[in-house]
Amino acid sequence: MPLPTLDGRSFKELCGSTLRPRQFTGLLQLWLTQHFSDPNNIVERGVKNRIWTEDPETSRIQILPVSDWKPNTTEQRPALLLKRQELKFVRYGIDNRLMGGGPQFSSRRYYAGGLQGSHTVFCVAGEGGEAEELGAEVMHELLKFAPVVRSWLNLQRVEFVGIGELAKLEEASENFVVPVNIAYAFLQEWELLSLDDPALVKIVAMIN
Amino acid sequence: MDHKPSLGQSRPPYKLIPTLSMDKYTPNDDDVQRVLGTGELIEQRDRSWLNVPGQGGSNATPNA
Repeated sequence: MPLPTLDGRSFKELCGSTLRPRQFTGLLQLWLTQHFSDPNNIVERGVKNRIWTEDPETSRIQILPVSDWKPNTTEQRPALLLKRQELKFVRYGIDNRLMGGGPQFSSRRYYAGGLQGSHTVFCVAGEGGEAEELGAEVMHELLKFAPVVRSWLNLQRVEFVGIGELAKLEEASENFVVPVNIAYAFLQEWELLSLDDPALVKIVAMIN
Repeated sequence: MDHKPSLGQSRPPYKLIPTLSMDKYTPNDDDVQRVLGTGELIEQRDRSWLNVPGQGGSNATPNA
């Protein structure tokens, strides 16, 4: 029996050198569309025929940001809707400065801080059982491949958080929904370069 | 005085399945912090800062 696979070649291209909040939404979309485009990847029997294709007319499942969702389309096929939750800055040191070492009279100042956020994948279907199976499928995919994705993107953390209970969807009350959460953390570094005029500085952002 | 429902009287609606609004939903912040482990992240930060040019040894190991 073929094992689920994930091709990460396009992941690094998507995110470039600096991870922006919206890009993790795109990353999740790429991750899940890739998973659901191959029936060999799908483990849960009840959703094995939910194959994603680029053509929205023929695709058996929708995978898109929640802002692009049209509720009437879910009556025809289930959906995985991606929502970015809050991204928080976490102070790691005094004034976010990197202290100690370095040339005494350097014109460069180094800074760093943590960014921590999460995304929710809403698994929406017309039947409660299918929403549950979609939730389980997404849960297993995120849980198992999170360490690989973390390594590809050189982030500090990519962790499956949990799967919520089955609920009726308020925005489309004929549908059921299961929320699946994933969290991530990365270090944001930047440096200030003093230009010839001391009042002018330039910011260079880096990501580890 | 006890009130006994008569046959055919409607029962109060049961709410076995809750409702969820995608608009309002946020994950539990404690759960997010638990899996991210902020304390360990700060330790990683300490190691990664060794890589910053001019801030430490050039032989430092990659962070994360």
